[in-house]
Amino acid sequence: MKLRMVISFALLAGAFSAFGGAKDDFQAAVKAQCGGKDVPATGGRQGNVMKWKTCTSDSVTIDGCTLSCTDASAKIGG
Amino acid sequence: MKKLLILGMSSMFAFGAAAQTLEERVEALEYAGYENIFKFSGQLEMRFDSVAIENKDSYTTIKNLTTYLTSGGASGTTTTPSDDWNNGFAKMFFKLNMSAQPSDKLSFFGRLSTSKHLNAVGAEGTSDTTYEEFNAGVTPRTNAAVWLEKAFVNYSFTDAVTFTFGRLPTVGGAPKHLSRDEGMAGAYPSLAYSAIFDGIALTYTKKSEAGANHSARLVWTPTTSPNLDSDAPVTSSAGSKMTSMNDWAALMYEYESTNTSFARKSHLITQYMSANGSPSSTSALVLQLQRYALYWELLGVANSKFDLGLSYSSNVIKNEGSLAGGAIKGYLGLDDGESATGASYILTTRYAINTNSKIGIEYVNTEKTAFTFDAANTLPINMYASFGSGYHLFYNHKFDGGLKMNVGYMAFNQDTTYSYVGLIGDEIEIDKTMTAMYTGFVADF
Repeated sequence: MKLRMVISFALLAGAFSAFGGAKDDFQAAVKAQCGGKDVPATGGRQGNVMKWKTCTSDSVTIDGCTLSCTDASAKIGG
Repeated sequence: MKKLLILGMSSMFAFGAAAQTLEERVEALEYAGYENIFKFSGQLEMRFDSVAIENKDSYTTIKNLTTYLTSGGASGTTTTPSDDWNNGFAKMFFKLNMSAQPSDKLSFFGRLSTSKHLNAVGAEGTSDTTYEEFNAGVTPRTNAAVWLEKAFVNYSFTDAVTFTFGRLPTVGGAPKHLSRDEGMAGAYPSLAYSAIFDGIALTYTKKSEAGANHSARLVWTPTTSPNLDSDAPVTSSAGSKMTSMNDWAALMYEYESTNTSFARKSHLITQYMSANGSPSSTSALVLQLQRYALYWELLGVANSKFDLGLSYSSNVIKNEGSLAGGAIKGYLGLDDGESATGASYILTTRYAINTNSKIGIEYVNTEKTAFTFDAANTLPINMYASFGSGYHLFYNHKFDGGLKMNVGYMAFNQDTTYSYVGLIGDEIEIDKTMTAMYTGFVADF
């Protein structure tokens, strides 16, 4: 049982470190720009988080909410 | 009972072994993630252009300065109304983007570019390499040479202060991204100075809880004229020793906010730019340019599907020296010591038909005394750096999965040119109409 807990914790920690940042950023953007509308942070390559993260336009519309996209590579100073 | 005990122990060992493996695999994944700090993305575009030129007046320009002077001014290239033409082009553009974030404070961004004509088996003429440093990443060539378009790092001293150095993301700035339905690609507005610059910058950013960002930035991008034979200064064509480095600098202020009362997103950029010294290495002609530029973009105006972009630039240009010992005049037809003021503007509006399609138009107007420069133009007509006025109709459609189609029509009436490279020498009044259509396919990956 302990071992399972260790494994679960490790998986959770790994998953959090790998994807938590993008998901948190997405949720913060939804909170700031969707006027209270709930847009789920769905995972996966085709999920909402990656739709926003890999956006190449100035904005992307997800579930009726238009989110601004950012590209640090186009800015001096990030 | 004994069998049950053995079975239970076996299960426990098996589970432990599997769990250990899984734990190790998770750990290995973690370290692999830490090691692999690079991220890559890219864009491939293929475009087909049809361009038509109509001249109503005859005029003479200088194609090769040395030949022109040797011939006593008899070798100019004369353009007449009979020189009207239309032609087709096929071009390809490739961009490989890379980024890395080795620490919370340091981030790196780079781009390798290739811009070329398709299968160029023959070419006429020679390209002017004077300003190649500014534009080679985006100007189509006859080979597939790869060019370093940008390579810079940001180092955050604090949350507010960032130090940047390298080959900066100054090319392809606003409003070019609107007609391509892309994010803003360059930090400098195109009317401020559309070129690739190396340099250093210091940015101060203040973020508010309401999602608004204020940024102030100082950018220093000296132009250099190195002597490749020795460390001695370059000798100008007038015989004097020239400094190897000239100060070019920009001061910028940006304000970005989302969900304002008048637009979904507002982005304002103001820029002052000082360019002292000619970028041409051995010329005795020296450019002194002071420029003020403004770009204001409103996306989703008043909760509608309309976007607006306003670009404005005003410059004071002072001409020092002359070319070829005074055989021809200086920048914008000015004599030694003369100065001029000029302005240009671009108005862009765009409408989102649906989430996949946008249609829009931009109108460009440039006075004949505006020092326009767009080394980074990729469109069939260089509208931002031509004297006169014109418009650009565009349509973008996104297909699911990362493919996009851009279609456009451009028309520009050029009323002025200058006899040498379009910016130097005698002012010439012309009546030249340029029209173009293009269709391009863009894949982002």
